[in-house]
Amino acid sequence: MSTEEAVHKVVNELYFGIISPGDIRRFSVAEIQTADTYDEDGAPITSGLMDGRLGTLEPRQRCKTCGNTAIRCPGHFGHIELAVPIIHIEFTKIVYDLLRATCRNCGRALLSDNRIAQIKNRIRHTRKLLGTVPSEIYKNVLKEAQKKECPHCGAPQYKIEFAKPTAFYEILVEEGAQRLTQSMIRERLERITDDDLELFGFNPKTARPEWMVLQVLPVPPVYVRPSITLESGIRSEDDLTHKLVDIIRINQRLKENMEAGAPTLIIQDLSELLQYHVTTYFNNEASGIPPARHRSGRALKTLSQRLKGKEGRFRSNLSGKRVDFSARTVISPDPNLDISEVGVPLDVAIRLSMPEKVTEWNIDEMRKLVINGPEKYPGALYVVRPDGKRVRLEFVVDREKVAEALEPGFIIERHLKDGNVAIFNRQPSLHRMSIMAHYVRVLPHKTFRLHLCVCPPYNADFDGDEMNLHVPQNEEAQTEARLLMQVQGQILSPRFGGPIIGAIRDFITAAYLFTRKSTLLTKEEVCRLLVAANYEGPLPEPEVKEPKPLWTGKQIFSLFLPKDLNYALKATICRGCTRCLCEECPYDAYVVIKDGILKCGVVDRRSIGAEQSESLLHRIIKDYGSQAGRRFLNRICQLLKLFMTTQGFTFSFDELELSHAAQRKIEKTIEKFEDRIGKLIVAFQNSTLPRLPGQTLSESFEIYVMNKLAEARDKAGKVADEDFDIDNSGIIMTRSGARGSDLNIGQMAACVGQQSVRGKRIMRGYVNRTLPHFEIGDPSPKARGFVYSSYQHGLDPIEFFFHAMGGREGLVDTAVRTQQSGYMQRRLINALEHLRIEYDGTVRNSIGDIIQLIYGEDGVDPAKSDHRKAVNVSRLIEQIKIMMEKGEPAPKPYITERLHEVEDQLTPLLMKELKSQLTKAKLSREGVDQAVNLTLENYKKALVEPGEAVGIVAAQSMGEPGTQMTLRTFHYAGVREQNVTLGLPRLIEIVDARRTPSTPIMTIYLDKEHRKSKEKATEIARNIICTNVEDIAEALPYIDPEQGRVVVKLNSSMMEERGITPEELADALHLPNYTVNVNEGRLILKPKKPTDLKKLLDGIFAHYVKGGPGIRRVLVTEEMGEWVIRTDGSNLPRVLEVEGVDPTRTITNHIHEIAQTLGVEAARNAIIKEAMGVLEEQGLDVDIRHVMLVADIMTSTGDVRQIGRHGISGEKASVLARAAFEITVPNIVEAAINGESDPLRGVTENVIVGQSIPIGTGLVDLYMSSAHREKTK
Amino acid sequence: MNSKVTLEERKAKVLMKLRGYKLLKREETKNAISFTVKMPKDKKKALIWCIPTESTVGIQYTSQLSKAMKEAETERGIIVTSGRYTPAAKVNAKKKGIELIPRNFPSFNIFEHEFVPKHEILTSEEREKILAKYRMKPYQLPRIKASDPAAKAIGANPGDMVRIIRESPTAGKYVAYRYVVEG
Repeated sequence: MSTEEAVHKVVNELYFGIISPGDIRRFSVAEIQTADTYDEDGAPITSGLMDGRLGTLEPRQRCKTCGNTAIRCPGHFGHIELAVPIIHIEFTKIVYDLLRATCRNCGRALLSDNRIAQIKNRIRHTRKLLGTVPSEIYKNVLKEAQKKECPHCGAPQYKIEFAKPTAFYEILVEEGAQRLTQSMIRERLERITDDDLELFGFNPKTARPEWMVLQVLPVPPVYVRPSITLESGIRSEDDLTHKLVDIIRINQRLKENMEAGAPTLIIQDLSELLQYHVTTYFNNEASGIPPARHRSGRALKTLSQRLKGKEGRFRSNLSGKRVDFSARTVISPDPNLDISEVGVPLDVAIRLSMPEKVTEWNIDEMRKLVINGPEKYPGALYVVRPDGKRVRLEFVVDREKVAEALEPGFIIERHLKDGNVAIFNRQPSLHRMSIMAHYVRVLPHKTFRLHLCVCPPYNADFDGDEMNLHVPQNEEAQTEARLLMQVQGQILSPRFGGPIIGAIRDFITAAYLFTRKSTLLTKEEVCRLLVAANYEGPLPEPEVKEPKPLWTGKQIFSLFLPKDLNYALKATICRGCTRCLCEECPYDAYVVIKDGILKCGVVDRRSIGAEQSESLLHRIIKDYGSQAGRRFLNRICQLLKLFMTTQGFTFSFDELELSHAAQRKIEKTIEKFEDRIGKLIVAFQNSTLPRLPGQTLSESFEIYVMNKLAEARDKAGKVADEDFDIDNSGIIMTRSGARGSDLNIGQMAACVGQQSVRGKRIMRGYVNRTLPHFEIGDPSPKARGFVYSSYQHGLDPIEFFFHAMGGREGLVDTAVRTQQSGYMQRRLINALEHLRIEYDGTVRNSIGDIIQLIYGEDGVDPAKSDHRKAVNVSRLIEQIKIMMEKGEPAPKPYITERLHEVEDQLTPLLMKELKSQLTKAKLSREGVDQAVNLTLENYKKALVEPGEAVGIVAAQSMGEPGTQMTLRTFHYAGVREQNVTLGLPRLIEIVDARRTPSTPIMTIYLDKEHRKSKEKATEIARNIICTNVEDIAEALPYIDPEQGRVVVKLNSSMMEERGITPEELADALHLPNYTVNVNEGRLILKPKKPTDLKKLLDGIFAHYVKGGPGIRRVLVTEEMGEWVIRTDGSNLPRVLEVEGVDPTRTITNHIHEIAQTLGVEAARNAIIKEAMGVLEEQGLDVDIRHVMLVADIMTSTGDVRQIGRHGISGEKASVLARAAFEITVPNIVEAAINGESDPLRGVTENVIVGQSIPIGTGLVDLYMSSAHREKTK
Repeated sequence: MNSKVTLEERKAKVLMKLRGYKLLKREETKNAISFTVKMPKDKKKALIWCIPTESTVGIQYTSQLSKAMKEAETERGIIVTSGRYTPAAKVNAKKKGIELIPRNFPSFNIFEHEFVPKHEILTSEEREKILAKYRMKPYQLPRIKASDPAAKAIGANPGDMVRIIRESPTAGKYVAYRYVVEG
């Protein structure tokens, strides 16, 4: 350690620029002139591509430049003098812009002096106002400076054309197109003055434009392009070396030809070829050129390709690095472990090591370890002496001697042992609970073992999952892991402020069975269980005393509850009766815990399950701390495990057998529905079926049938569900929430139901039929994929086939979804990673711009909140009530006064809640004091801490549930006729800030006058729906050749439906060159002057008549006692101005439209509302603070910006961070031109340079005031 | 349209109310309704023209207005219309100090909409206080564009700071600030 820590410098900033030819020559150690690499002996050729001065690859050879061996030599650049200047491919675009914007004669910017001064002023002004200058300004200047004549020297300017990839032509008036040679271009670029360059955003100190045309080519050191020796002894060169060989060869040829005075044609051809090779050397995927290929036909991987993309240098080697001290193997469950433990196989434990310092106190033990050596378990791998010398024990013959030589101060790298801290991880690491610190438990066999309760945060199962283990190697890292990453510290998820770790599957079944009223245990059983659960203490009084003492499960369970816990909740088995009988619940579903005794109710998922907020487990953790929560979970799991294994629990095939009565009932139910569907089919075939608004007849039919079939399946399932009694294992599992749902039971026992592809009944296959077993056009359920059978009975071949079709879609869906949500997560993380809480409580990005003044608007950390709330006031007061002795209620003024004192320290919401609860509770003065103080105290405890990576947490909290979302959900918004994109696609749409949503929808509320009656609402709906001529025409328009006019036959019923009178129609058609006539149900258009009617004929249908453009469909529905209009299509500005509409409540899901008509703040609210709506609809619990942060950063510039490369990620302050995200090379090029510097204050950029990140504990720094330092001097 | 008060006049009324302009005089000319108002900030007069048209508003309107402004000795002019502005009119308006209210400016008080929180322009003392409290430059705040409907409604100009009083689902009430930028 000591030697390596000696030199430790911090990179503060990184500058970008274009390297000048002078610099290239100065840095060069050798001019490379020979295209060869090695001679026959295998020695590098001098001034060849493998010149020894560039560094050496041979292990024991020394570098000719620096004298170091291969490990220590950093490598040195050489150079190639190019015979002609060559344009660097990545700069062609900017070269083109510069050529057009500057004078061909004098090189000045094509702007008058006046204008230049103006622009300079403007740039200065914006810099003062905004702190930076947006790149659009420079782009506009470049565009503006394209003139026909130079305002400075008066020389005429010609158009310049750019032919990809590297050719430029000047279009002269007389001579026509003239090719600009590279030297001419270079000359022109040289003439541009430094002052003018600044107008274009150049930093002339670091980037002169002529440097973009290369005269000298740097040759990278050999370490960048190592040659490899194959097993057969054949040397194989790197792609870059191959390319350099090409360049040198052509360059030499060109030089020779030029010296020999060869004809220009040859020279030109050769320089063209050289240009090609240099271009492909930089970028082998540039558009317009065929990629250079290897002999085998594989395209070469040159410089650009090395950097960009997922496998490129940035993402694969710089943002993520390989590590030592890690292990990976299959995982398996072990309920005997503690939840914070991980079982590590012995084979892993003897290969991973942990450094331990030898002290006087442990020296004997350490000696033993050294003697045991690397193979015998508690042993050691290395001994590190204080001078840094490492002794590898594997190669030591006499370990006893080494052990004898141990002295305090030595470091032993010993085997992993029980109680060590290790970091455990399962990919994909979607949230911070995917990486947690566990305590090591060395176990036999070959798999990592983990407790079942930690499966939910890792999203792990045991069907072959593998996980990774990392061992932190120093005290600092270990301590940090222990304090921040420990399992019990992660029980409460920051996503929703509830426990994400908890009992699952059989534990829940067991808890249910154990706490059932019927469970009675003998003394022997009780003792055995309690010993397993590590209980020490007295036994409670047995519930049944005669004939022998028996204890209930509830009594035993109560032993593990905190003694002063009071809580009540409804269990999962609750049937949701209309009137809750509370304690008298016939299902024992009302859980009451009084003074730590489970009085009534069964314990199931709602109480101890994972991802259940406001559960028993949640309460214990919140009120007694995470350590108590861990202990509770451990002990009940041990208890339940033993109970379950002694009792046994099996779901057998026989248990799915239904009673005869039930079977008949199911048959009858299905028959009944078949009848109804038969009627629907008849009605459909006779076209007497009522059409649903906005749907065709067959669409309506499908909707009807699908609804009926779904109903049939549900009914059948319900019959089956009711037929099984509560002791049925399947029912026990579904009711207690351990696994499965009623639907699964129904499918297994009664009827599998409709199979669907793309949300519709199965239609594909043969022409108008699914399979040849059916008649053409057969719309019966069986022919469209309805499975009558149950899984227990088995499917017939046709049903099986349809089932497989539906099943395949499910698989495809999952595969597509993981990709999409993965990318969304990456973008979210990238856009938000650099946000953190500052010491003043603000949320700022890496350069200190404010995103939120107070995090989440109340400063509360969701992970420390009580299921979103900062303080659970009602529970707090309840507890005080129980604790306090009854006293005289405090007078109201006293409460008000006490509240007033803390007003500026609490949020308005908390104040309100506290006030109403206090006035209700009738506490004594003392009680009021305590309530107020405790609220304040708890609120302060729940606040976020400075340094917290709130951005990353928010991104994870939105991204992680993305994987759980269903991909294609078209949901019916209120009315079943309306389809809205929901689920993952909609969430992606929101964070993408798409210009138009895929299903724009408006909800239009009406004013007092119109909201009461359907007629009035319909009236307004008519004014809103967009009507074109097409919508009211009966047939296609035609030309009446005799009269020379265009005639459209009108559909009077449609006109009536849309509320258009003939007069209105004539008025609405605003055609100045035609006379418009409407009579006898015909629209007649006659031109005033004879014109070609064809154009009118084509255009007439699209002609606008009435309503808001873009609104395709309107639906008038009744919601919450008032009539509202829902529309397909959106046009907010227009609708808001329609009379009768209540503009204050009318909304759309089109976020950009809201931004334009109501402003950014409204757009922010819309984003929050839409995103929360999507998440809630999917039943995902995400704290609103995360969504708010995303909305805030999206709207922080006054525009709605996308989360991605065109928005937030593209505007990050750090060049490296931008390059590491996407569009790597152009980002670096632009940074070079502008002379940007990377302040290295964000996350990615510091990871890239290998420094600690300025977030969380990495933010803590030691500062010393300079005044103080001077004094000490 | 079918109501007696034109859409433009309604828009102008809303604008005057939101910005706290005091109406001094209402006149009807042949192609516009003109209001003379007093601005609350500097007690200066401004002229608002409502041009009831759906088509384009060209340079002739802006030059007419600037003439009228000179006659009435007002420094600022505002045009309210439902039509489009020609690019020339926009350039001319900028030169003459005329503010063009965009065509989609709503004819109701947008702060009554459930999505739009209240916006206020900060006085320079308030501004200094906030900047000092958080030790920042104004451009470090979140921004709002001067063309934003809410900023337009209260007449905020680039360089101003705006206080936004939000209804917060977590805190009850929350005060945010935005810095007005060009655009």
